[in-house]
Amino acid sequence: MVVKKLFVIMLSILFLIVSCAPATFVPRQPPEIKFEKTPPYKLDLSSIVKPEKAVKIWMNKDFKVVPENEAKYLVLTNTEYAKYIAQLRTKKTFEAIIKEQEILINSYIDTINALKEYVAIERAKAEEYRTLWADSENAYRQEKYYNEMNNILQKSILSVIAIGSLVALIIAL
Amino acid sequence: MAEILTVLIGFIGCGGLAAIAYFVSSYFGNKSNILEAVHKIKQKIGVDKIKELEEKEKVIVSVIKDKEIISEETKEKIEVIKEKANEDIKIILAEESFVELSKEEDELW
Repeated sequence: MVVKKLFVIMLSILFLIVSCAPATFVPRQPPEIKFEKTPPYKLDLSSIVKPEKAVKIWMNKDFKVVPENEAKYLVLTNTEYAKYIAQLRTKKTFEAIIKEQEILINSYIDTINALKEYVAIERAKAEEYRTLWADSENAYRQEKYYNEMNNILQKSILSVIAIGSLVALIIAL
Repeated sequence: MAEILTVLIGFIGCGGLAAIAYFVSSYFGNKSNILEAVHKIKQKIGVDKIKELEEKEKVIVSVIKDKEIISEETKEKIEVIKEKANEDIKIILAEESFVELSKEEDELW
């Protein structure tokens, strides 16, 4: 009875060992990287208030109003003078905007350079994956070759043993 | 007697062949183990290198995201500059005093 049970257990263990397939290879999952698309940049300067053209009063050396080509002095009323000051303010605004745009352009240049570096790393990664793939493929082929050789050898020698035994048995009989 | 000897030789021959088969297969087995070890090392080195490259990529991604934040902030700054300029220009155009206008001019020049 005990021998029977032991036999069944041993057979089950043997069956388990034989039927257990090797664990499936799960390749490394690369980190998920996602970039949002950058919309095109448009600078709208039309919203900046633009004063009308100043009305100029041309005067000669006696401070009498004369045509432009005879004038010695230019006289402006406070409203017209303000228009020139407003233009100066606009000029300052543009200067400030240009400085900010420099920062903006440089941040885009930095992004482009970073992306170039990213592409180079991706290329290096692809090369590395290729090497791993080639290595695995070569290892598989080598293993397969040895396995086949082993099978051929074992089968041949077992056949020789079987035939030899049969011949020996026939002779003995 | 000769028959027994033949059987014995036959069995010894088969045993010898079996022994050769064992050595040959164990030789292949050993070689296979060495190859497996080399393969594992190669795989480990490769995976480590990929991990290293992925870490570099993460740094680059964070740089790109920082730059995106900077560019968005700059765009907002430009809008603020424009708004402030509009307010100032409106004040300048409404100014009636020559003194104040002159002061403004000196500041802006």
